[in-house]
Amino acid sequence: MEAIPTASLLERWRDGETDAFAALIKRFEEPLLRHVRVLLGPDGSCEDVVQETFLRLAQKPPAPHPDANQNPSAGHGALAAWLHRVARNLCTDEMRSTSRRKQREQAVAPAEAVSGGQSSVDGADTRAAVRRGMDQLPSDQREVLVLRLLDGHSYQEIAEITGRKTGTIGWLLSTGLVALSQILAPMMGHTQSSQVRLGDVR
Amino acid sequence: MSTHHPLLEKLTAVLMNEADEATRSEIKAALASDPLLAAEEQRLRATIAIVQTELGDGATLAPQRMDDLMESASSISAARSELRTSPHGWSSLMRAAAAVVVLSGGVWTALQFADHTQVLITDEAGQDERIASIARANLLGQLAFQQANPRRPSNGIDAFVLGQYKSLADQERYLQLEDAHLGTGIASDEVTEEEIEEVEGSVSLGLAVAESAPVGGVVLTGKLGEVRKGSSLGRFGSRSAGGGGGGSSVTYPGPVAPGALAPGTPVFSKKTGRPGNQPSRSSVGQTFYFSPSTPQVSVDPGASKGSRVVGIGGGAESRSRGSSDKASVSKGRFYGAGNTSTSLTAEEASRLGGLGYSGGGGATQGSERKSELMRESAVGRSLRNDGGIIAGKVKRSSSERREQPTMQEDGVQLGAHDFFLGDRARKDDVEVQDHEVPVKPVRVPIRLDPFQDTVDLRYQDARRRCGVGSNDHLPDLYQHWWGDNPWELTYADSQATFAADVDTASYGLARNRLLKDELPGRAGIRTEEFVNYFRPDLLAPTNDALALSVEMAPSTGRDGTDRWLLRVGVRAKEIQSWERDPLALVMVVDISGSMKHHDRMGIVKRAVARMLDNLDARDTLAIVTFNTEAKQILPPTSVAARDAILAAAEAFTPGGGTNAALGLQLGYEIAAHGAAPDVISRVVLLSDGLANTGETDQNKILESVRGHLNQGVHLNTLGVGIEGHNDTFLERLADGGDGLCDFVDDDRAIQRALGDRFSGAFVPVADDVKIQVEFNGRQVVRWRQLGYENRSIADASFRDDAVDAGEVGAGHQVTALFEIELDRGLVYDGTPLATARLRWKDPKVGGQDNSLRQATERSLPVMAQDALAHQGSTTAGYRRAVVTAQFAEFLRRSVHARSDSVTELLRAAQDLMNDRELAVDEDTQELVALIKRAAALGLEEAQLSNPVQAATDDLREIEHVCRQLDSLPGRMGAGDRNRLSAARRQAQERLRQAIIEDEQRAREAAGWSQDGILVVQEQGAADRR
Repeated sequence: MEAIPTASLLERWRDGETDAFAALIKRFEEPLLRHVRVLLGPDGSCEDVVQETFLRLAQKPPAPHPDANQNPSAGHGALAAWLHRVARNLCTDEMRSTSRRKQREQAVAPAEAVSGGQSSVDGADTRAAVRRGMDQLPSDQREVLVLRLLDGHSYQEIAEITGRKTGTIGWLLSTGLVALSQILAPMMGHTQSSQVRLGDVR
Repeated sequence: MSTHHPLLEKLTAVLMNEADEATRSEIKAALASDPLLAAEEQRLRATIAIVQTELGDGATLAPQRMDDLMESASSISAARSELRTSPHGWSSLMRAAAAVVVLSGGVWTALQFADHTQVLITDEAGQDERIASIARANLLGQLAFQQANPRRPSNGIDAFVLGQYKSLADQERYLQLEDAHLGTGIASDEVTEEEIEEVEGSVSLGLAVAESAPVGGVVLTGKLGEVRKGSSLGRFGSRSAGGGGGGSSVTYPGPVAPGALAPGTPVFSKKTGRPGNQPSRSSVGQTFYFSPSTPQVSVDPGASKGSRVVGIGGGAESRSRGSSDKASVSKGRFYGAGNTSTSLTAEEASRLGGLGYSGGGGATQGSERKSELMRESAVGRSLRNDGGIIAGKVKRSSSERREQPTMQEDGVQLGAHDFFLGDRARKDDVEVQDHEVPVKPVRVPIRLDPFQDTVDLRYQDARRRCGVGSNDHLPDLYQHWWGDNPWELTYADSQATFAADVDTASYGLARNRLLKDELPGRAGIRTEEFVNYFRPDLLAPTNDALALSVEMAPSTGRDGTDRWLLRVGVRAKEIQSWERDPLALVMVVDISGSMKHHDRMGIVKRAVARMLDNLDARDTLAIVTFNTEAKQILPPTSVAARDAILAAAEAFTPGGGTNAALGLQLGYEIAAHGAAPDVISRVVLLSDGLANTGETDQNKILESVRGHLNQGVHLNTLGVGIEGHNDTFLERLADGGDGLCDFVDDDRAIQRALGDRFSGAFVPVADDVKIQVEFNGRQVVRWRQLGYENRSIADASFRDDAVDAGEVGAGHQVTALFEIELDRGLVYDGTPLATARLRWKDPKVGGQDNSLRQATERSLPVMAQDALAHQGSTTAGYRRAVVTAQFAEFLRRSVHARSDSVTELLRAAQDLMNDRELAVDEDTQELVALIKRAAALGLEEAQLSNPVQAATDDLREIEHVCRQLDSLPGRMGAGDRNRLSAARRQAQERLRQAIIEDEQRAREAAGWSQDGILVVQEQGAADRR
């Protein structure tokens, strides 16, 4: 865990210490950007949304978690959940006010159509290929994958952020992961999915 | 799409370190034995690794943004207090971005519309005219559709009509049996045809009231003048169901008291002195008298045929004249007369409802009250027979409600007759001179065939009931006819305003019924409570207490108009337990004798324990118990002392009466004592809801704690083990106490009420929540709201903060649905289709002056492009809301659902299961199962109405549409006018035909031959039908 507990930073910012606020930005900008990017797509207003999220943290910071002193990770988790929820809501507003989602879906469609071409991707393009692979997943799977694999949130925390049940999170994560593994299979030199056969056997 | 293997989900959980011990060993074993799974595991691990290495980049905000943020932070830090109160703002950057987006969206939509672009409307007058002509076209289109697709009637006999015939048949048999028994009867051939005619013309009332049983049949003759004044019940027949002493056990204050009439006593009847009235006889007990001067006869000399029918409805008629226009009263009476019972019990009424009449069961909230009133007055008359009281009730009713036939009245078609005749009788009352002449008893056999007259009268009455008076408020009329919200012309009314409702009891009740393999009755199905039952699907706001959202998609318009379904959703802020203010709860626990049963005390104790799970050391809990008396058994105690609280709860021992008022008063005192700013103070009443000692009127109980209410103490009520059907007491208490009412009857319900919905029930986020949707008359031709029939508030009250509305708790979601009809040809002009507005106040907190609370208002436009963008990709929550609302409309036997298909509903419900979120949601699974169950129980058949009702409804719809057309500006073309009259004529003819067929079936079923002769059967034969 970080040197200074998140909850103390929050407390200090509530007292008006701008350094603490800067530290909070440093601590959360990466996961937030990642999360927002998943929801809105790589282009455009992701940074707007994250900036706005921090602005809200500045204007109206949430109450500290009551157990934060005894349990630093609870304090961290609580603020993380709050920030992700705010960011997520802003994204929804963003998507609602645009037909972005539609455009996104259309933009992704051609990639799906030629996804067989991924076996020829060379090493330098792996990163782009993984991104494209992620982009082919439905956004709810993508979001859960990012929150879990890259930001290390627990199922419980993800459930809190996204307003879903933990059971659903496990299911989304699993379907998303399997789907992604199938998309990326040519790149990783593995065979095609065994899921269907697995289903037949059992 | 192949289904996802559960084993893969478990494998993922293991890889993610989220699996429990059992799952880990299961997967370990499976991996060892199954190479396919092992290969899958390898690939998943590799995928995780590649994602983490490739995508785990250190993304950061651009330096410029960081600087901006820090600048904001500095100024916020410097002037925190001002900025804290600044509106949750979008940065100017965001606003600019949004503007660009909206702009491009507008362009895009304009392009979409360009395909069927016609004219761009600019001038206002032309606009109105155009809207009117579109509305006209839509309305006429609806009529054309309706003509082509009449309502679906069942083939069942109008059971009420059959009852009439049976009753007549019984009377006939009774008379003949009496003849045989006494051996003094005059054979029919001894009476001339002429005499029979006379008798037919005058005897009917006697028949109707003589009834079939050999005892107690009483006919009264009374004075018209007195009846008219409403001071007397005058002439009517009654038979006590108890037999034996019959009607004589009841004392009537009318001019003639049946109790005074012994069998064989000659009855004096009035002679009206009008031409055409023949002296006749009246019947009492074992001797028959026919009373010529019964008003039905005397009224209209030329209507001797009509008078026979009166015999069927006889008893009722006199009542209807007590007040000017009380169809509901006369109906009750009528039913009594026709079925040898003087009062219409609730059970009978609901049976009628089940027979396909739209009213009987008191189908809708709008008419329930009336139905209740009707029952009351029927009972009042038959038991107390207090004319004054009845008149009072009627009067009250008429001042509150318009004097129009209601749904219930349709439930009793024959009630129509007396209604109809009542008017005629009234007219003649003026001229009547009362003479009393003794009537010499003469016995005759009676032959009655009411067929043609009945048809005439039923038809005339039915038409009368379809009529729309010039003063009628159309939406009200619609509600009275069908109990549903009508289609409103946006031109005439563009706003829907209603209070938020988070109750869900209606759904639970319907579910209980369905699980018992019964279709729930129409009454008590509230569409909004169905829709709001489910877990929220909208995103919770983080800044505001409430967030507004809209979603729209095409609806399946049955008549080819352009119909859309708009969902307006309100989602309350989620409050994590660590974010909420401390709770000071006072539990007021019913430990009366009735709580001994059905493990109610056990439920209470488990509920207390479950509640404690949601509380922590910040919170306090006090416990008051009450039976005949109230006492505090636990002072406000920190929840840290959990064991002490549980021990106190363990000590509950039930016994004694239920003095809820005392318990609540004590509870409120304790709560008010602990009230403080930033503390949520709540009284929680746990009871089986049957207050029986002390004050039992919830309004008075609330009055006694009113002062504490204003101190911000809320009241939650929790019904214990009462299956949701005895909920009025607790529900009204909670409504008045600014809290929620819930029910717990098993552990699942405890979990739902005190676990899942805990913060919603105990942590309020908004008070007096009102929603208003204003439709744009340029684009929306007509609209209707699904549900919220009894939550509607005046449009003008939306911004009147003194007007009370609903409370919404943390995490709640309120959904309202509207069906709207768009003008397809209209060019999109950039204005919204509708604007949804939301207004609320912050919840009361301790010590705060109520009047200081500011209201917040938000609004959201419904843009055409939003709907278009979402076409075919509605959210799962939207689809579920639509399916749920449609299910509720079916269960309500809503007039709007009559032409919908249950098969479609089933398919839509099944489609919900294709959504991943919904497929794993227990509540949705249950919904789908319930819909299937309802379909299997005959949901489709339940929509069918009897042919007469169906034809009546069709005619009503035409009349309604005609009136709407009249209200539009401009003139209707001659062709349209002709089409309209043709449609009306056709509908009238269909109605007449339906009545004829119904009568034919009924008379045959009752044993009348084609030529109007009653085929007398052995005793009991008719009963077997």
